[in-house]
Amino acid sequence: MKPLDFSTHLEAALHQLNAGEDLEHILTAYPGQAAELRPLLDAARSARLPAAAQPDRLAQNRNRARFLAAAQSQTRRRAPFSLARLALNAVAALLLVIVSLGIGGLASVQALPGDALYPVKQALERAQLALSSGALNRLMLEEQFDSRHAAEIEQLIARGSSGQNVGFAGILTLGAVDGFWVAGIPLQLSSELEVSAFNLMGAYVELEGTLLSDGHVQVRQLQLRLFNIHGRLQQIAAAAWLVDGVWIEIAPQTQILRQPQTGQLVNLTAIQLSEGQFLALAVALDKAPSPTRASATLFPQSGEAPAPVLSTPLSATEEYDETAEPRQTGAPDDTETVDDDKSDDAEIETETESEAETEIKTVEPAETEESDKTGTPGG
Amino acid sequence: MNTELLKDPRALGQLHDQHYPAVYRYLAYRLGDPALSEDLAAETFLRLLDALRKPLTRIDNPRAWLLGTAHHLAMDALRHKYRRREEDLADHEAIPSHLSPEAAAEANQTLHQVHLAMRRLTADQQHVLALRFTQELSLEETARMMKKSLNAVKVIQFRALAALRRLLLEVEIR
Repeated sequence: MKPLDFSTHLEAALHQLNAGEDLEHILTAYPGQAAELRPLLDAARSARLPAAAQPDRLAQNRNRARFLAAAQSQTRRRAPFSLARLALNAVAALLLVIVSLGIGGLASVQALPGDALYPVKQALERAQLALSSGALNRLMLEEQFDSRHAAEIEQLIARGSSGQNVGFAGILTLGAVDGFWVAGIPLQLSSELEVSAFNLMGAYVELEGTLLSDGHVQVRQLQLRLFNIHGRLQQIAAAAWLVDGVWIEIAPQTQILRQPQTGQLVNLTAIQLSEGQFLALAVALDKAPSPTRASATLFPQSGEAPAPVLSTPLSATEEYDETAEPRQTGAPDDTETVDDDKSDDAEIETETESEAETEIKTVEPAETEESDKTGTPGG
Repeated sequence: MNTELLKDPRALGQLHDQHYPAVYRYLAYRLGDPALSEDLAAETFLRLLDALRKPLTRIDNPRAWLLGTAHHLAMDALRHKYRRREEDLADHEAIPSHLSPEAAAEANQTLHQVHLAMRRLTADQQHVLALRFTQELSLEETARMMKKSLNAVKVIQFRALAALRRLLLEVEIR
């Protein structure tokens, strides 16, 4: 019996095994090869045992949200960080505060979307954000404004108003029978946006749209809310950093260009996973360190923020090696890699594994650094 | 697939949902650790984004690309498991909940031994077994995915099963 013929029998027998047939019954079909097939099929039966693992649905949804958030942050284009432009904005905001307070700041507090004074109210909010100090203060202020905007829309709905352009933010939820909601306000979505909404479900989103007479908001734009948090790194814990009083989760996927030290100023691009829970997508050291500047700033993504950097992730090695051991090459030091005698099969031997590797032509899967070093074939 | 895909959340979401289960099953098979498998599945998809961001990149077969990347990540993770000798895989094995405590303990032990034995196979041998048994690929499909000839994959599979058998017998004798 030639080895190649034997491999054909083995393949047929494996197919039967995968179909759930009994081992003894399978072997009766190959009386001449039963002795050789038995140990291999027995091993195959063992090798099938770990294949029963199935993914957790929640983990899959969580990963999809992070995957899409990472994709979105990669495609966003923003102007490069400009200290001068930031200063100019701050001055403009200050002027706006003065002018607004002088003209009708107090009256604008009650204004609703569509009212003549509503732009003044929005300008006041922007000014408050620009002038507040500390990441925590700004986050609280943002939260307060988001709640206020939702309450304004509820007031409009209560009045029976419609046609106003509105913009607000909150956690995107899906009702059992009545579609998507954000901050207690029902949404009307196009089929295209509905697909995006399914992908962003459970995330903190921001949206713009028009209030309809039935109390829904016809959504024009829906996107994940990204936060740029700028502040001093106060503490580094296992899976989170404290930046100016705000704990921000650092996941294995978080892109960290250069590991900062406590006390340094950092820029983080983050998403809000749930109430008060932030996850950093990207971290960069502040390029303009100013040891005397204690205040931190946080501004919505639409502001003049440094672009989040989502480049090549760290290798799995770096991410999972908590002890930061020096890298090693070759086989694991306490194991023996088993590869049976390569001279056992003359006919098959004419086409070795290494020869087969020369067929690799197109784009290879991302190899980790260690895989490169040890010459692991590109799959 | 190209950079345009990055701007299409619908297509990206579909791509993720279509391939996540396969990537997870592959990693769980290789690692026997659900939490680590989830982490590495996430990393695999982030690396896909990174590859898509490169303008000249063409990924004709996303499934093959993802499983190839998962293979490399699994190898790196396993090296570190070996280095951290205190790692107790038995705590991580996923055993069906319907089993009695005694049966679950026995199944856990068996699964643990299979995982330990499989980790002593070569990288390619582990890759072939994972592709054959978690993705239910034919020999031809496995060969295409690994970019090897059919005969090379037959050889790898044969040796993988023979070595696994021997390693499991060694454990039984002890």
